[in-house]
Amino acid sequence: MAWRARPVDGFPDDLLLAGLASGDAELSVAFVRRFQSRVFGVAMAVLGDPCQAEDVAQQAFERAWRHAAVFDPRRGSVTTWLTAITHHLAIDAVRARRAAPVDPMALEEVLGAGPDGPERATLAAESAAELRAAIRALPAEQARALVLAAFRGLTAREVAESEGIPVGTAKTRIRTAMVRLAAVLEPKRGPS
Amino acid sequence: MTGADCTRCRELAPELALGLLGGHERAEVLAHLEACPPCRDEVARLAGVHDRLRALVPPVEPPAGFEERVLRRIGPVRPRRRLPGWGRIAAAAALVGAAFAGGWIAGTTTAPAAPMVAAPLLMGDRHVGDVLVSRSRPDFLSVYLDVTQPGRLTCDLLRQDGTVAASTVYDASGGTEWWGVESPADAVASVRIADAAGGVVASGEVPRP
Repeated sequence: MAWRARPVDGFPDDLLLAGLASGDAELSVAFVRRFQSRVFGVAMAVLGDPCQAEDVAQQAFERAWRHAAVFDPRRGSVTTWLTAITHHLAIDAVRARRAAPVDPMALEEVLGAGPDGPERATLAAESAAELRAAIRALPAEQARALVLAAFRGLTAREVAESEGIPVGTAKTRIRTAMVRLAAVLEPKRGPS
Repeated sequence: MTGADCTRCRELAPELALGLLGGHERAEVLAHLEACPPCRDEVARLAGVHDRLRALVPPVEPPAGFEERVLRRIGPVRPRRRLPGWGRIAAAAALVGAAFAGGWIAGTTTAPAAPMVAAPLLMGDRHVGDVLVSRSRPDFLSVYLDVTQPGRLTCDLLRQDGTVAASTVYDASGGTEWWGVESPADAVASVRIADAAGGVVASGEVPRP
């Protein structure tokens, strides 16, 4: 146990969020510093353009500030909530601009660095490693469809166009990939 | 609700969970989910996958000046105030209460669903601070104290029987001070803060989330 020299650094996420909402200078700065690289990372993953990603990331923080009162910690962490906001805004932005063909994102680009990756505070490293392994174990066409949909914001129809496959096949690939990952993430059942 | 509705929902659930569904299709699925708990569970399961996937995205440092631009965008923030004293709810509670009005923060005996609980730190019958505990992180105490005299403070975390579970010192500069402190699990029942001369300047119970 220790008192903190810079006390707000160790504050729980939801307390920093409350500080942001109330306009407290120190807590607002701490909130932005704590989450900016995650927020910007999600925006970059979807948009791939630093200028657009910054605009979306700024909007995400603004939305968090405006809507902090609806955050419910029983439904998930601040990180999950904030990255969901960011992702929705990035999807909206990508919808507005979509014209050029989308480069399929490299799998390793999505999967991150490894056990020291961004999930360390929000997802147990063991669970993240399992998830990464499960993604790598997917058939390549399923992994690609999942990446295009989950990270680049392509609908099944757009995935179908990008991959040159029927829409039904694109839907099946996305769904099958997600169901497989869900099975990996679910708590292991012990012997009955 | 029909089997055909569930089949249709099953087809669209991944895109809904990924936030990709819009317009009529989204409305159609949401209407079905209202009446179909199994499909609702399925969408929640897939949405959980999306949450986990986002957590894998590598963090990327934004361009220089991002922090300042965000703070400018959300309006002027106020510097921390030095409060002359504590009301019935301390500055800490007021701070979070302003943002989470309606039970976001609760006293120890009310609003069991609130994500944070607070208990007062007292000096005699004077309210001089608060201890806050987040339900999401019950081993972390946020301690707020109105410090009248700068100097070294000793903070003891006490068990139910009054014995000291943990102790530490802090050099306070005065005014409204607040710090985080990790608590050794359930062992701690109360907090006692003393000045350099050993005089108790604040004490109170640790709230239970």
